[in-house]
Amino acid sequence: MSIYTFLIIGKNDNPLYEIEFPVNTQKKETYAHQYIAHGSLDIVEEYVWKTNNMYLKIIDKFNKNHISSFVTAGHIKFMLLHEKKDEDAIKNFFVDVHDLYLKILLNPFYEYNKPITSTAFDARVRKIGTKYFS
Amino acid sequence: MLFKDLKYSINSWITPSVLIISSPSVGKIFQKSGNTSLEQVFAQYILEKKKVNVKVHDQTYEMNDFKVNFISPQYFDQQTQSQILKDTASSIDSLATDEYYPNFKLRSKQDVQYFNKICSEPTPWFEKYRYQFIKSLHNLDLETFTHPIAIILATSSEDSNPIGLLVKMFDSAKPPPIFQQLGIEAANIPKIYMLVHPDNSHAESEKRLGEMKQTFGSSQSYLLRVNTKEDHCGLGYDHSTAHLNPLAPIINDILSKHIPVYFEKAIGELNENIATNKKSFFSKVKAFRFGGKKTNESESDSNSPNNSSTVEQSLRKVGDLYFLLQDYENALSNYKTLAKEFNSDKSPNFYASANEMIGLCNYMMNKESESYFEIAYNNYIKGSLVHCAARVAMIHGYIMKKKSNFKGVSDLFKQTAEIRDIDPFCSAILWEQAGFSLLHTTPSPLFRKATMRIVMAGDKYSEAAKRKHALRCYSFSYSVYEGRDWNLIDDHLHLSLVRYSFFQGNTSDAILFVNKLLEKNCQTFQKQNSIIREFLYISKNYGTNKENYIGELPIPSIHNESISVHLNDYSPDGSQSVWQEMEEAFKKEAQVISKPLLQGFDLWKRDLYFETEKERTAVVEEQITVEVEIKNPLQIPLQFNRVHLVATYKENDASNTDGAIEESNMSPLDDENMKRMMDGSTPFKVEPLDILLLPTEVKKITFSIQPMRPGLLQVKGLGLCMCGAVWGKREFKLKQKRLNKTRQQRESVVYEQNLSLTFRVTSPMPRLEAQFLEFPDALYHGELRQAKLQLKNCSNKMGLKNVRVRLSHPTSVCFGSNSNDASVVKSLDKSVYLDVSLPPNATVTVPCWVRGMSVGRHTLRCLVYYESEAGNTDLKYRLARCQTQFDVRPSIRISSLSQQSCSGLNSYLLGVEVDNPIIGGGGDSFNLKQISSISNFWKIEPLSYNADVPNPSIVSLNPGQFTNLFFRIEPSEKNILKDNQNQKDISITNISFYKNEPMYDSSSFPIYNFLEYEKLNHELQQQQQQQQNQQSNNQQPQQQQQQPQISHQQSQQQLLLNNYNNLNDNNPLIDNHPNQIDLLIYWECNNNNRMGVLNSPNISFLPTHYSDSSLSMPWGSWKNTTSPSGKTIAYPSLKLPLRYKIKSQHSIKHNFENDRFCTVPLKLSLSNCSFVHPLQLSIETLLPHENIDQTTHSTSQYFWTGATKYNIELKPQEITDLQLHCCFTKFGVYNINRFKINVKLSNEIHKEIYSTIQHLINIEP
Repeated sequence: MSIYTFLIIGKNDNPLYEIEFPVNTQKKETYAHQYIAHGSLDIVEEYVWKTNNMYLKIIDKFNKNHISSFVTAGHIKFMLLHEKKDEDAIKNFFVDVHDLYLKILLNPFYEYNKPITSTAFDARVRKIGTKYFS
Repeated sequence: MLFKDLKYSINSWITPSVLIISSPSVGKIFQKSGNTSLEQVFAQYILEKKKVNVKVHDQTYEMNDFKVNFISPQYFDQQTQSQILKDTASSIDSLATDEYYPNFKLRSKQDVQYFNKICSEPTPWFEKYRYQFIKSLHNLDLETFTHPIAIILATSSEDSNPIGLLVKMFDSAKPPPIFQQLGIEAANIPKIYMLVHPDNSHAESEKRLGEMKQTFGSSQSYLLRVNTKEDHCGLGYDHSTAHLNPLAPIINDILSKHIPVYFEKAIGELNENIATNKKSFFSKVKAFRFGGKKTNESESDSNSPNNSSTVEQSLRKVGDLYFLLQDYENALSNYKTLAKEFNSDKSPNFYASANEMIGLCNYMMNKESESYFEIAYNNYIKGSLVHCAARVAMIHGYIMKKKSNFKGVSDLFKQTAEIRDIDPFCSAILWEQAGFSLLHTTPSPLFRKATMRIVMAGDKYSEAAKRKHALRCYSFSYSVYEGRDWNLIDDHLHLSLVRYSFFQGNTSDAILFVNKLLEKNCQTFQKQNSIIREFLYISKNYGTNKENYIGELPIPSIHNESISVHLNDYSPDGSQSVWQEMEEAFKKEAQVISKPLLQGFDLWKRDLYFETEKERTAVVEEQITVEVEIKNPLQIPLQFNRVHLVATYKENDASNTDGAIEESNMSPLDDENMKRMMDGSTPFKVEPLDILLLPTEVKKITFSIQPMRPGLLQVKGLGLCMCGAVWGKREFKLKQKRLNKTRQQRESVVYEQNLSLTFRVTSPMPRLEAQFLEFPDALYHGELRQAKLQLKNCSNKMGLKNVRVRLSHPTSVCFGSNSNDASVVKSLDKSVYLDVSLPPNATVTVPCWVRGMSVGRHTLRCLVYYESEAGNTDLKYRLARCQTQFDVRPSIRISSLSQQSCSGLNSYLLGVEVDNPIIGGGGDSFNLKQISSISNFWKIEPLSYNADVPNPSIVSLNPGQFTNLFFRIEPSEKNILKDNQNQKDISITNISFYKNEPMYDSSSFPIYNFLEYEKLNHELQQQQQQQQNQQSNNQQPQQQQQQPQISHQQSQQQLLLNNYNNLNDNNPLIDNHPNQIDLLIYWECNNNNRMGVLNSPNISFLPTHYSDSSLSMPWGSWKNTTSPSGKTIAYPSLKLPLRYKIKSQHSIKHNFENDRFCTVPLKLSLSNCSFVHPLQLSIETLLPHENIDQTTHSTSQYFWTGATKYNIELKPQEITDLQLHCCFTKFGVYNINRFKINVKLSNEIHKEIYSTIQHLINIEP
């Protein structure tokens, strides 16, 4: 089963949100994904100025993992580590999560560039994830 | 640095070798002298540049720097690759550094440029490693560089038959099996025969040499004389004497004669061989398509044993030989032909090897070579020769780096490093290089990827057990991830950093990272368990210097706010403020502090008068207890052994502060130290405890420390042994006050020293223990009981003196048993001095009386002050605490009523209502025994009965019952008779309700003292009330300013109020006004023969004047005069001791026809009921209609005649009659009250009193 790891990364390279699809009950703690995602930020920074699109498509590859990225207007980076190439699903996923993210931003209690702890957000991202990645 | 040049590395890899076969005895000779061998001795002579001329066909090769490796047959024994790699890895250990660049932190992209600038070569060991790696990693199957180009055979003259041995040692027809295996053509290789002759040998060496020359030919036989006494057998290489050395000619012969000949011969033969077999090439390739290894195929294929080598082998050999001769053109053509022979699917290794050589040839000729390296690399991987692949990668990487293709280098190295079977150290080195190449990428450095690669390198280094390298990698990368909340990365890095910091002995770093690791507490408990276990293991095994004492531990966490210290004088108590108040009072009394009272402008400078906080004083050999809350922050239980306080001790020597001895117990509290402590050789003792903390548990624990010598003791923290394995400490971090007084302090951040854990230990002081004995648990309100205060001097050396006591309820306790030994105070805020002396070990019991003052549950706190008889400059006095609890239950209630008597101008009515308020069962019945009045001038007389109580039941009160008693208050005769000067005498009236029983003496101890205390208490409370009033009054003007719209009326009222208050202050009439009486009612209770006395102090019976609100008093209503709650009754503030009365006939017969006017004489009696103050009066009659509204106009009027105004002065107790005349004109009933009395209270203030009492006169015809 191919695993998708989704991260939202803030302006100071700090992770705001992290989830893995399919949502595992027994979570294997692997730090490699975080390293890969963090490393790919270099490439995102290169790509982001080359296009007008928010969705940057697959920008990097580390062994089996492809890294797709989506950068919001506020330079919050969505990163997705995936093994299968399925651009449409990934793009739709990103757009849907971006909607959710905008809603979180509108919340007066949410501080920009701070970890997202909203359970509602989490539940909805899970729902979107299962919709596209299973 | 030669290593940096790749060509140098390649050349050292591709170096021809000379095989040396020596007999065991030769080996022994060299072993003995300097632990060397013949090969090593030879190798010394190659370091110098040697010229070799080789002629092949028509070409002449001139090589200026020809090198050979001297090898022993053991070289061909299958060397384990892992061993070589290990040796290679360890060869660069000395070059490795702790940090790439000291104290560099990579946080952002901008830092990278700076890093590249300051640290152009972060990994200097890489080139050395590459050199060693390329040089030593030979693949014997694929290459022929290790095939010997000459063989040296050596025997010793000590051997019995050296020549026979030499013949046996190498037989060209039957070479050693390794030659067969590698396909080495033994026949052509030149052989050199050598006889080693030690100088202590007696054999005839010259003769043997002759024999050798006969057998092997003169040009190939040599004699080597060695001096066994010198190092290297006297053959040590020295440039200046090289030409004299016996080895030099031998080597020169080998290089100049034998090797060129070999080259010529070998190349010629191999070329011939190739040419003859050329035709069958393709058929062979087809025939052995399904075959495995080329060599095996060729062996099975070849018909003639002489011609065992195949074409491929020959081609390779020729190519290699040309390469050795640095004829890259010819070598290249041979390799290219060779490459065509192989197929990448069938034999990827050979194909790869051929391509690698093509690449190398091209590189040596500075031509394009990268594509060949790529092919070689891929095929090596296909053939799973990972280390060859790694070699290609290093060579290729070097070339790419020269072309600034850093991304390519990084990818290639990363790919190589990830190969599964690669040596971890090699992998680590490659990861590291991959990382650093990314820092050079353009346009922007990929520093995040780079650090990730470096972390990977760290992982691999740790796999290869290279801790120094691993720590360097992790700590470099950590700066990128630090503080960015990547939880898994943080855990990984922190854990690694903890591990390797410990290994490298950086304990403080390790502790720092353990703290960070456990800070977020987000790991699962299993993981935490393993972290702790590892922490314990590492710190135990690698813990530094003092046997596993690692200094500051990361856990448990200490609530620094919760630290509280208790000296031995008292135990901790919840109501600290009560104690503190009393302690402060003692301080003031003992004049330990002298705080100036600041007023006015001095308040500006009040900062200067703050006394600097002093350390507390502790006494030698007395325990100091420190209470600390500690918490286990983790999700696993933790065990701590021998938790104790850690402290430093400084000897108290003011003259010599620098040299003062300082001692601490910051070392493991093991059995040895425990013993030392118990012996008393330490300046203080601590008490260790074992603690088990469950997950996230918080425990409050009390530790104790006992100073043994005078000095300065500072408690630093806790020392503990974690899980029985690791010793460490946790320091207390006390909150410090920021200093902000001077300019200097404001500009810099300065903190005041927190001295709450610092103690000045003084010489021994006696210690007193106080305890209440026989103290009643419960009292009735007003009940009197005896109790005792026991004072015990615990010291067995010193006596005590000057014992004083302060109580939280000073009105409830009287010390003493009778009036002779009573200790009484005049003011409640004074302490009670007890006249006792306490020699060492003495116990004194002080009797005391207890009285239930106010209903409720009380905690009586008693603070005992005492001084040492010996005296102590540091500690003038000490305090002991004791406390007890008691209940006060309600007994009877007394209400009183006082009224002016109608019959006499100077007598008053006193009504007393006594009430047993407890309704329902359980209440006790009380018998009133006696009533006493205490007053300066007044006495009471019973009114309700004459002389004797008619029925005793009226004075015994069962629950719910009440009784009324009435008394007349009259001036006490003796006081009237006496002079005023004798005012101090008090008049006491005792009225017993039981004639036959003895009476209580109200003036005796302790009854009178308790009354005094109660009155003092009342005064105190009144004062407090007044102060409160004043404060509120002072605030009100401010409010008025804020609210100017407040009505005028209101503000006038305010003014009036203020006036009254001023009166209170100035008017002598208010204080000490004599018209009051203290009433004491004695009761007895059948239950246990209890007795008590209830006081109704200060019953005031002043005349009241209703016309003035400030002089009116609610007459005739019952008031509670005993106060179970202890509150006082406030009386009107203004008192006017004036009474008046009009006397006349009430009915007068008059005939108006005879006389138009009926004149009636009236007598106005004025009485000054004060015993002290004279009164200034002016009496004026008023017109009847004056000040009376219109409606009463029609009523019949009267008018005054005669004298209508008097000014008189009334002396104390004086009664004056004034003559007035009233004139009537009609019949009728007249109310004669139209006059006013003006009383002069002070110079300014007059009070006008209008009569409010009816005095009716009936005029009848």
